[in-house]
This record gives sequence, structure tokens and C-alpha cells, in this order.
Amino acid sequence: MTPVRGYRLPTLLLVVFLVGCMGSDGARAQGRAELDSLLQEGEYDQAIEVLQDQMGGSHPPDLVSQLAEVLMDVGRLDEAETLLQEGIGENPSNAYLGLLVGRVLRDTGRLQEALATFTEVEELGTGGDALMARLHRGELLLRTGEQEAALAIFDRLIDIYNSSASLSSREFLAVARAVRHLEFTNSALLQDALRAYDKALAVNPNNLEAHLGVGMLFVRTYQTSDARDAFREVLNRRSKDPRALLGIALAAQVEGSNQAGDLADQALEVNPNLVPALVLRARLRLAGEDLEGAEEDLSTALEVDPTSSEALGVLAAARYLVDRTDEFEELTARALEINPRDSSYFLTVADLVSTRRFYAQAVEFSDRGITLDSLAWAAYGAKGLNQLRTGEIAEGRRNLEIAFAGDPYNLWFKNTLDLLDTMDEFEEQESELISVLVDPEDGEALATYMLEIGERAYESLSARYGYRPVTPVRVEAFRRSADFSVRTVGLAGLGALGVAFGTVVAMDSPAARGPEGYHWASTLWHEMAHVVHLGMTDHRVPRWLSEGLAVHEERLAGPGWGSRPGLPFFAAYHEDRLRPPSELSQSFVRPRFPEEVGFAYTLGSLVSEWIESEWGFDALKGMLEGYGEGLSHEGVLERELGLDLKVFDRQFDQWLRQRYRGAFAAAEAVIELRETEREDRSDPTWLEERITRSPQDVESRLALARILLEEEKLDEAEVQLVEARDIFPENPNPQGPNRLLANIRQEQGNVVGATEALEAHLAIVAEDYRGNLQLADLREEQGELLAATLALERAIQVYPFEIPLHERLADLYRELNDTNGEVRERRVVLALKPVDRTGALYELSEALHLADELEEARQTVLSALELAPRFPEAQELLLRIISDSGASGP
Amino acid sequence: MRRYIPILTALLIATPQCLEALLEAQETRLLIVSGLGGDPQYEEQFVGWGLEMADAAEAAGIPPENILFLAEDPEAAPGEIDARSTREEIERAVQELRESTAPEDRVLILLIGHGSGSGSDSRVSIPGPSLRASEYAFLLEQLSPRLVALVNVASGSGDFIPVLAGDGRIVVTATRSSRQRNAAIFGGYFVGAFAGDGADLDRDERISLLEAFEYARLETDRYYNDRGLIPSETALLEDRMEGSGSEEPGEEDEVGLLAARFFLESVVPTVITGDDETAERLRQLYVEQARLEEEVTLMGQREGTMDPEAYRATLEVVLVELARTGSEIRALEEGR
Repeated sequence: MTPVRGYRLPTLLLVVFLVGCMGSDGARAQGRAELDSLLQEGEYDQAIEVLQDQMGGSHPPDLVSQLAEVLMDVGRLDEAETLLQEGIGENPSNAYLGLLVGRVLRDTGRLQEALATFTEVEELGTGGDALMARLHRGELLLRTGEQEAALAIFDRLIDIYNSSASLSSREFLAVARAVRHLEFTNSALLQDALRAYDKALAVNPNNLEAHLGVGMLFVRTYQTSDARDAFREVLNRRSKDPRALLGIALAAQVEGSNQAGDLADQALEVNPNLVPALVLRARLRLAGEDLEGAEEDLSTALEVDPTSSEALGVLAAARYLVDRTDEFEELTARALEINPRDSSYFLTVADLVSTRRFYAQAVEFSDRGITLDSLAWAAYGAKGLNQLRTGEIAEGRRNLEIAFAGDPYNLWFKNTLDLLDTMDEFEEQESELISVLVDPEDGEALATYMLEIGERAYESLSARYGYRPVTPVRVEAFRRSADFSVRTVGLAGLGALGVAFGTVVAMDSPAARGPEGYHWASTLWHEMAHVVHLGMTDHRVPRWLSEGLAVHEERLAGPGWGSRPGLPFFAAYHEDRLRPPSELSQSFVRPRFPEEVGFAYTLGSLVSEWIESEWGFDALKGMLEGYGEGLSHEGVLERELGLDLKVFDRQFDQWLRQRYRGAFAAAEAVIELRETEREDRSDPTWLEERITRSPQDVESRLALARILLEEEKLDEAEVQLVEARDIFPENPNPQGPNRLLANIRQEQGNVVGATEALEAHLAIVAEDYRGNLQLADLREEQGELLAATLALERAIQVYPFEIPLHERLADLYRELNDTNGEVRERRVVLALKPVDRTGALYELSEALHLADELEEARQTVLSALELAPRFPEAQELLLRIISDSGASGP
Repeated sequence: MRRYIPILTALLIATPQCLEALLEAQETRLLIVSGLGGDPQYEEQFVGWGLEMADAAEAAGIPPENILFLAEDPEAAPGEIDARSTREEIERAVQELRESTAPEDRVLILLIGHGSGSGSDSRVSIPGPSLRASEYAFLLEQLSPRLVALVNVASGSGDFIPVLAGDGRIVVTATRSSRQRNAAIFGGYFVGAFAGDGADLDRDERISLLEAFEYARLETDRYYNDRGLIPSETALLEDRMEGSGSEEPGEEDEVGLLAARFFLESVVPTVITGDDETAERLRQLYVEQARLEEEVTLMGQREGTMDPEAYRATLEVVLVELARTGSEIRALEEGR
């Protein structure tokens, strides 16, 4: 048996050996599966423990790299570095470990060390690791301003791609990233980058870096839906991957979505040291005037990576915005020392200062970026966009064209240039103070009134604040809301109706919104208030005060102008869902629910009203001056009101609750109902019981009144409406008590009572177009022609495009012998392109004749006769005009 | 101004006395052909339209003897309908028009009914064998060189245009092709334009064929829009010999120039009451008014070739003169 034993032993040993190997492979496979599961669920801490357990005290390179990657994913970079160094100590020729070390060094700002490490890795190996090391080396050279050397590396990577028969997934990935870096030389390369990413994924669909790369590419080209799909591919495999979460946050930011901040928070929960996420959140905080929060994030980011250009740029912007110019210069010097060609640093600063409305400064900073890098298309674009806001239209357009030529994927550039082409056709009406540009379809019908309101606003606000903005103030009105959106592109949290950039105002035309619910005249007044406030504070007025004061000014300008707090506002306030005044600016950039932005406007206006009523207008003006001098919130409040932030919030709260006692009572009833009972507002019995139990329930009283109206029980309905009105007299509900009372009284033939109720309603809800027309009817019925004209003028301030309104107003002015008024109205009728143009020309000619404008009257009636040579009345008018001119005719 | 007087003078001098004679002599004849209704609703409608048109024509000053109304059943309106709308009667009517009118007279033929066929075979159903479009074309040839307007308000009438378009012809159809077969409402608005005053866009107290077309087109559109219906008829007007017709005749395609000058009314009313002197003065004024209007029309056609200031100055001269003429006419008419 010995020979058998002799033969068998090696075999046996071999079998044992093989079984042993299979056993440990099996255990590995099971461990891998468990690890994947943990990573898929985002259980990073547990995954780290599993890997540490598997490693025991040794450093097998595959486990070292896996563990190091997970540690890097969650931002534990020091631990990752230590582990990797230990791993390299035992496996000095492992290129992948070296690559990871290089990344840690890079991500912690040790750029020269990283460069050296990547060079070593490149020399070490072949294949994906070496190619990736080369890529990283190129990226670092780019990052430190060695552009030519970097481009040479990227070009070489393309050569490898073009000359190789097959590449690995990681090799394709390296090529894709290299091509992306070349896009500023030729934007068409973005397609090639995408192709390379696709190939990387074709070879390995689980290449997370490739998915992330695709996602970021789509963010870059504004294809945010495709971007999100790519990031979700990562999240399907790693449900809490911080870089994928960040990617979705960046997509949200591009879309101007309010969710960007929340998504950045989610990414930072997993990796609190993720520098791009920290910087994103800091940007948002800065835009919301939360300097402290922004500095906290930036401090963390720069601790992790002191060389982060974007972090330095955001911090520099924060310093600049509070006039800490020395520190700004220091940071600039630091950034340029790292990369003397860092145009993106200045672009970051430009972007941020523009979100705080420092548009002229944004132009300057963009220009500095262009000076450093003449191919910085984004900088040209930023310069162009901001020049459009400062009124430098031609120059802005020129820079945008350069930007778009270099970056045809930029939707903002394209849309803005398209808009400028559209605006070439706009009609302009100008005075010394105001220049109005309107869509040709709106034409004189809108421009005439905008000019009037604009001039009134300018004179009134200038006198009140003692500040005259540079003239003419340019006012643009857009017939399509989409065009208005393009005009305000890149500026999140701005008003949906209008915006003031300084001495340039953009707003929706009433044609964009129709005759219901949009008061263009008060919107224009609001924006003109911004023009004054921005100018007198050098754009330093904080958002909450800027918007609040503008709404307050609207309310002072005309009855029913400016938004008023309704029951939803009071309910939200009572439920503590609104930020207090000291934090109000945050509501505009990081609203926590959809209505919060609108409520912030209202709350700001109430704070302004409170300040003026308690301390006087001089305090308001003093506050603006304080902000203009660069004082902080605390400093301004202390100086002008003698209050600190907490007291400020508290005293305002007390005032508000007292001022709107009835409204709060009604709101409490709403909340109580919502929380305790099922509503049945269609059942009158239920409503009556409800009102008995809760007499302050205005909504239930209104609902009951409507039912009673349908049943033609007018007297009973009136009782409910009067009660509802008395509980909350300033109810801005468009179908509120006063409105319904007016209808009832009109039906009862009580013209005087209906008029009173309608006036009371319109004194709160000026944007009720039909209401204003109805009031004009009532006034005319009572022979009060002047009051009727006022009602029609107020209707025009909502919607000026209906011909019958202007014809009617013109007729009234004729009866009142107001020749100027009649001429204006007849001109507008003509501008609205009536079917009967001949008749409109004739009427205008008659009005001009009455106004003694004989030459224009003559020309106008000749235009009528040109269309209708035998028009009898026009012929007679022509002869009268000739006679009155003392001429015998031509 | 001095530079352009020669042109104006030339225009005035160049107006031949025969134009005056022409303006005086123009008569309008109206032939209304109302076809088979098929059911009482349409029988009544078609006769109603015909009667309304006849009344409007009389109100415009066309003597009753210059109006011929042929319909399915003369007993539907005794004394108002002249004969049955058979092929023979239509041919006889055209023959009579040829023999009793001068070359400078105008003829308006209005066809009312249900359409059928296509191309040159298009027809309006009448008692007995119907006349095809090609046969109407032959009949219209007989009336040349008179200015003839043929208005076919039947369903499926559009193919009449390419067949009948020609020199000195205005063709109006209620539909753009024979495929639009649903009963057409255009005709009711068309005759309504002459009967009411809503169509008088140029305020000259008369309705041109173009104004009637525009009015009827817009009202037809409004009918469908107000009811949320998809329009099943698209009227066309053709007066440029191109044979395609225009849905919206206007300055861009220059269709409608002839139709704009086709009226039921004569330049000089057939009957002018008042003493001899007043009547004679009025006659002169009517002729002068027509001449000046023609002047304005010609100037409008030349506007693009003139200096704008010179155009306005010259136009003003004519318009002032026209106003004076119009004013004197009104004064004399009111003083009668």
C-alpha cells in the first residue's frame, strides 16, 4: 500500500488544499454578499465593522481597498489614509491602493503629495489603475493652473481610447472624464464623453463612478431628468450614496427647486465631510442671508480641503457681502496661489453676489474670471446675464453670444438670447423718469398706463424716502410668463410676478395672467419701491425687509393694493409654521412648505407696518440707511428700534395678535375644525350647529351664506355675511362677505347699499376686475359719473385690454368734458386694434378736435376717410376741423 | 406739393367724359336661383334667403323689374317668385340679361340650394336636370364683357371657383371644395349683410360684395365657435382670375379689389326726387362723388410707389373734395 499511499498523499493534500480554498472563497463570497447588502441599505457603519472583522489584523489588499473606499464614502478620511498606508506597507506594488491614497491626499488638499503619488502609481502598473492615475494627475495639473500639461494628458488618453481594441470599464471611465475636461475647447466633446461613459457601463453596469459621471454630465447640460435617472442607478445599489444624493441636489439647484438644501442635508448626514455638499449648503444659506450657517459649513469644508476653490470662493463672497474686504482679498490671494488661472473662483463669487442683488459687482467679478481664462464660457455668460440686469443690454447680449458659442448646451444662455431677440420687437414709451418696454401685442394699451403709474410711483417714493434713483428706470413687461422666467433665470426665490434688479424692472404683463387676480399696477409700484430701496442701500437691504416694505408701500399707494393676510396666513402663523421676523429671509430661499414664500411677503409687510406705526416712518428709513452702511440685523434693530432680535420677534407677535384679534379667532376656529371634526360645509344644519358652537368661524358663516343665497333667502344670508365681515373686516377672500353683500343688495334693488359694500370689498381686493366694472355700473346708475370713471380706471389697473371698457370710459370723459382723459382712452381703443378701426379713428379725431388738437385731429380723420372715403360723419368732422383751423383746406 | 400737382392735375384731366357717362349708366341686375329644398326646413330657408336678398336689392335702389327670382315652387311666395328654377328658365334669364343690358352694366347671380358633384360637374340641385358648373361658365361667357358676380351659397360649392373664374368675374362660394357637403349657413349671413347695416365697414352706407363676404365669413365663424363646433364650411372669394379663391381677401393677396367696388346700388340713383335744378345738381354731385372715390381707390393702389408725404398730401386734397361733395349731397338730400 505504500506506493498507493505515496501516490495518494499528494492527491489528498491537493484535495484538502482545494477544499480549503473553496471554503475560504465561499466565506468570502458570503461576506461580499453581506457587505453589498449593507451598502445597498446605507448601513455604512455596519459595513465598516464587517470589513474590519474580515481583515482581522492583516491587510489583504482587496479588503484594504474595500474598507478604505467605504471610509472615504462616509468622510472618515484620516482613518482611510492610515489604513491605506498600512496596506501599502504590506503591498507596496499595489497600484489601486496607491490610487486611493492619492485620492485621499487630493481630497484633503495635499495636492503636491497627491501629484507625486499618482505619478508613482502610473509608473507602477498598467491597465485601469495606471490610466486612472494619469487622469488624476491631469486633473490636479488643471486644478493648479498647469493647463497645457493637463490638456496634453487628456489628449493622450483620447489617443489611447482611439487606438485600443478594447478597454476595461475603468479605462473607459478615465477616458470619459478626460474628454469632459476638454469640453471648454470644443463643446461637442460632451457627446464623446457620454459615449465613453456608456461604454464603461456596457462593460460593467455596476461601475458606480460611471453612473455618477453620467449624472454630472447631464446636470452640466441641464438635462436634469436624465441626471436624476443616472444618480438613481447608483442609489438603487447604494441607497444612501452621498455623491448620488449630492448629484440630485445639484440637479434640483439647476431647476431652482427648493429641495436642493434638503438633499444636500441628506448627503451630509452620510458624509459630513463631503466638501461639494458643504459648499452647496453654504451657498443656499448665504442666499438666505444666514451668514453664520454658511460660515459653519465653509469652515468644515476648508478644514477637510483647504484648497477647495469653490469653498474659498463662497467664503470670499460671504466676506465681500459684509464689507470685510481685507479678508476677501486674502482669500483671493490664497485661491490664486493654488491656481493662478482660477477663473471659477471669481465665477463663484459673481454667482453668489448676484443672488444678493449685487449685479454690478457680479459683472466685475465675472470679468476678472475672463481675464484669467479667455475660454471661461460660464464667466462670459455670468457677465452677460448680470449686464442685462444692470441695463447694459447691448454689452450683455454680446457676452452671452460669446458664452453660447462656447457652450451651446447652456439653456440659460440660449433662452436669454432668444428672449433678447423677442425683445427687439418690443415697443418703447419713454419719459424722463421711466422707460417702458412692452410686447407689441400689448403696445400702447399697456405702455400708456404703465408709464403713468411708473412716474407716479417714482415721484411718490422718491419724495417719501428722499432718494431719486438713476433715470430712466427701465420697466419690461412680458406677455408670456415663460419669458419673465427666463429674464429672472438663476435667481431663486424671487417673486413670481415681478423683479427689480436695480434700475431695471421686469414683470408679467396683465396679458400673461388674464383679468382675474393680478393687479399689475400695484405690482409695478412694488417693484418701484424695490428700485428705491435697493438704490438707497446699495443693494444691501435684507430680503425680508425689501419685500415686506415693498408690499407695505403697495398698501399705502392705493385702496386694496398689496397682498393682505388671509385666514390661511393666520392659521399658519398661529400654528408656528412661519419663521419669526428675525429669520424671515430664510423663508424666501428655503421655504419649508409651498405657501411659505407668499406668507413671508405678507409677514414682512406686517412687520413694516408695525415698525412705522410704533416708531414712525423715520425708523423705517433709518433701518434702510443702517443696512446700507453695512450694519448687521442686530446692529440695525438696536440703533433704530432699541431692540434685540428676541424682543423684536416677541413684540411683533404681541402687536400682530392684538391688531388682528378677530382674524386669529377665525383662524383658530379653522384649526380647531381641522383637528377635531369632519367638515360638512354643504349641510346647512351642520353649518348652523357649527356656528352656534364656534361663532368666530368665518368660513362656516360664508359657506352657510352661500347656501342661503342659492335658496334665495337673502335676508338670512345677509345676517351671516355681516357677522363674518365684522369678525374679520379685512378678509381678502375674493368672494368674501362684502362681495356677497354687494350682490345681495343689488338684487334687492338697494343700489346705495350695494355700492357701499362693493367699495368696502374693493378697498381690500382691488384686483377684482369684474367688481370694479360692477361698481362703475352702480355709480353710473346713480349719476355719479366721476366715481364711475374712477372705478373704470381701477379696472384698467388690473386688466387694460378690453375695448368696451375704454370706449365706455371715453364716453364718460366726454360727458365730463375731460378732453385729456377722452383722448387717452380713444388712443388706447385704437391701439387695441378694434374690428371697426374706421370708427375708432373717427372717435379719436373727434376727441382731439374737442381737445383743440386740430392738426392731429385732421390727420386722424383723414386716416379714417382713407379707409372709408364716404363715411358721412367723418367727412363733416373734417370740414369742421378745417374751418376751425381757419384754413380753407389744401 | 408743387412737385405733385402735375400728377393730380393729370388725373383730373385724364378722366374722360365717357367715364362720367359710364358712371351714370351702370345698372345692376339681380338673378336669384333657389333650388330644391328636399324638406320643408330647407325649402323655407332657401326661399326666405331669396326673398331677403330681393328686398335688400330693392332697398338699394334696384328696380323690381331688374330683379328676377326663380325658385322651386313659385306658389311659395306668389308675386315674389317669378318662375320655377328649372334649367330652361335659368338659360332664358341669362339670355334676357344679355339682350337687355349694356356692356357696362353689372349682373349678380345668387345660387341657393344643396350642392352636389365635383369639379366641372358641380351643380346646385334644381327641379329637373341641374346645370353643371361648366354650363354656368358657358352662360357667364354670354354675358361678357359685363362685370358678373356669381355667388353660390350651396353646400359643396367650392369647385365652382376654378371653373368659373375669369376676367371681369367675381365668384363667391360658401365652401372651399365640393367635399364640404354639410348644409352651409354662410348664405343666410351673406344676404343678411345686404339687409342690415352691420356689414358696412367703410361707412359709405352701401354694402360691397367684399363687405358682404367678410361679414358673412366672420359671422359663420362665430356661429361655429360659439357652439364649440368644428367649422364644416370655409367660404372663398375669387376676383383675380387665378382660380383658387381666398379665404381672407385682403391687401396681401390683392384678392377682393374688384369685389370691393361691386355694389347693388348704382352710382347715380335711378330716381332723384326734387325740383329740376336740385335733381340736376345732385346728379352731378353723385357722379363727382363716384369719380373722387375712384380716385381714392387708384391712389391706394399706387401708395407703395409714392413718397409717403406726397401721398398723404395728394390724398388729402381728394378726401377734402370728397367731403365737400358728400356734405353738399347730404344738405341737398335733407333739404328736399
